[in-house]
Amino acid sequence: MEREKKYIPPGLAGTYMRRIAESDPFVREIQDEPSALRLYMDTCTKCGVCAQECPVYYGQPDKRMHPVERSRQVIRLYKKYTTFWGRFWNAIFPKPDFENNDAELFAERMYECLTCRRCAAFCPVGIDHSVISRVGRSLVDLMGLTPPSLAQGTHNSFETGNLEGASVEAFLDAIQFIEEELKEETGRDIAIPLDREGAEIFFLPPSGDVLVYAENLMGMAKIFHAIGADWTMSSRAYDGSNFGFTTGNNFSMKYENKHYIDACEKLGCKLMVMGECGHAYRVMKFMASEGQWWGTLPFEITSGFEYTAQLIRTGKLKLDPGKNPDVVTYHDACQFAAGCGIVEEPREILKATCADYREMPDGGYTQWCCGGGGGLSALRSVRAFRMEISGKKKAEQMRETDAKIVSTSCLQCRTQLKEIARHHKMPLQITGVHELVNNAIVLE
Amino acid sequence: MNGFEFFVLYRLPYLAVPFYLIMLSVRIWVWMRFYNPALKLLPRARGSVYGVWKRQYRPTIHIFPGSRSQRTEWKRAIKGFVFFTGLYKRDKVLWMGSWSLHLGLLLVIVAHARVILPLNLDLICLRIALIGSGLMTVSGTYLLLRRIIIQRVREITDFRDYLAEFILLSFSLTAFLVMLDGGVSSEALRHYVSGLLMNTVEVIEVPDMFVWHMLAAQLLLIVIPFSHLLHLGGIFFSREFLGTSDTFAGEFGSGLKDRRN
Ligand code: SF4
Ligand code: SF4
Repeated sequence: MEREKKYIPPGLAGTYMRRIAESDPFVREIQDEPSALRLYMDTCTKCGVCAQECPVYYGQPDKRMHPVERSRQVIRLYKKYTTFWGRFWNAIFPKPDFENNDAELFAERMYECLTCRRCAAFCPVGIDHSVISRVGRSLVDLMGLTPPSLAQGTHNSFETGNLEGASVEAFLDAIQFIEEELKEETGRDIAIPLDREGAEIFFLPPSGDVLVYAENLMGMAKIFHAIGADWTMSSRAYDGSNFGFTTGNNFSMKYENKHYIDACEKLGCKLMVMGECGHAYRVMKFMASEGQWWGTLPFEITSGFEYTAQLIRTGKLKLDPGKNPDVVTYHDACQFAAGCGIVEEPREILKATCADYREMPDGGYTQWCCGGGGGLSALRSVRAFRMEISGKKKAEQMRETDAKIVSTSCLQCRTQLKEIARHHKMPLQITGVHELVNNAIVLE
Repeated sequence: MNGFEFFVLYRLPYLAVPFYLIMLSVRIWVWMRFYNPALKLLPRARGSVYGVWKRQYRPTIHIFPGSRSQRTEWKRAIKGFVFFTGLYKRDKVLWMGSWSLHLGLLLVIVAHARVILPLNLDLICLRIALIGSGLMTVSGTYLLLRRIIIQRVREITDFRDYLAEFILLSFSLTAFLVMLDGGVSSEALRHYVSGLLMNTVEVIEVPDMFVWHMLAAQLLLIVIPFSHLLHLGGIFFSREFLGTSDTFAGEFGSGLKDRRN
């Protein structure tokens, strides 16, 4: 039975592409995107190196999964509406906007790129297909074809300030529960301060670290407690994640930041320490802050990894690696490694907290994506794709290590790695990095 | 000189050269309209039109951000540019093919300098051109075969790419054959160029293959702006977006300033 196609207003794709070409002020916020797209379409040498390095093409080496072929879907639209020759040929031989005149297929294909940027690292001319896929995704978003769970997450962020759409009461309950856990485990009153004006540090974990994987937050709370830090979280802005970045929706990407920038400013904190979410950290630190989306910010921004690694280097934390006796390896989250250059810090932390740390093959700056990047790990609808195609390489690498524990630095990777381990029947435990600090830290 | 030779040597250049220059300038203008990486090198640009452009320089999609001294960045980028080190580390066979093709092209261009130099460098320049065009022909053949044989390359290749590579190959092969045939003297070349500049027809002594070489060279100029050969200019802009020399050098994360302080 043929599926019913969504109605897309004619001309919508063209209007959007022209808007990009004219560098609409809002798109312009991510300065490089329109020009990068224009350049990339002119400079590809068609050498195929990107395909060799792409985890998706590795999983299914055919034309559909080829990075250049996927990007071509976006580039041909851009050319058709914005370049002289594109318009000329279209006037003579008009073609539909989308392959098979199917916008849903276009949407599907844009979500077959993990936006991991491995291609960009190896492309001889420096083409970053994630940028092109993101432009495609922004059009998908405009057409209302963003996968429902991602669209819902973005909607929740606007409505409630967090992806899960949890209420303030649910958050307060979760915090109370974590404080009780900490008390039970350590016998100490380790508070998680909320909305404390004038605190030095504003801590911003992804909401999943409060509501689902509390061990990371417990680890951070113990660290702050151990060094007597003056810190706080916000009961209104406690979700350091960014789905707008994933869906290509620039408006949402920009305003999701505003939420916690305001909270940090209002509390008068001097340092924002961000938790284990690579997307949020990359957008906040390298786009919003460096790109001055909201002017010069009156506070510094760092990641939990840099913060903790610095404390370890200066001997401010006492850690007992014996508390994590099993073999541990580390999976670099793309957004932290390729996007933010944070590669050494998590390793320093893991080496200090685990008795036996071993490298994942090809680990580091140019690691292979877990297969759930670019928001895919939140999509149940593409589970088979994630397990058998995009996650194929990672599954092989996980099998190659002798590790019992795979630690990672991003919530999305964590979800994907867990599913890979279950699907491929690997008896592995998947953890966050600060979760292992939580086990190893010695409080005096 | 028959009609065909007259057209190729004395009429087509008036079409091909301006076409190439205009198309390339349009491209560069389009790239610069958004962004010009060279502007970050102009520290005092405030108040000028450059100032407006320079303000646009906010590399927010860079890859592997880390702090290195400008000097280290430049050293790594130049090394990557001259030796294609990034590609070398990834695919040695492809590196061999593409680096030698570019080296051959450079040698061919260098050999043409004798037209404007007031010295008699014919012997050495003909040797350089012979080596250069030979290198280009061998590596160009490899690249074309690679395009046909390897699936991931073939999948993304269309008619224009085959055409461009075929013309490039014809350009180098005809150059090679001209050189084997004894080449063209500087004097004849100067006559030819001055004839073109003055729009007068100079009768020159050249091997027959020279006409085919000129045809291939001019077709090449026409197809460059529409084919994957356009990376010859865009690469510098494109790499710059990544905001780091890592990808150029193929050395990831090394040479960073210590972030520990
Ligand atoms: S590696 Fe770069 S230049 Fe080569 S085909 Fe891929 S995008 Fe094009
Ligand atoms: S960003 Fe990652 S998934 Fe997307 S094309 Fe590049 S390597 Fe493939």
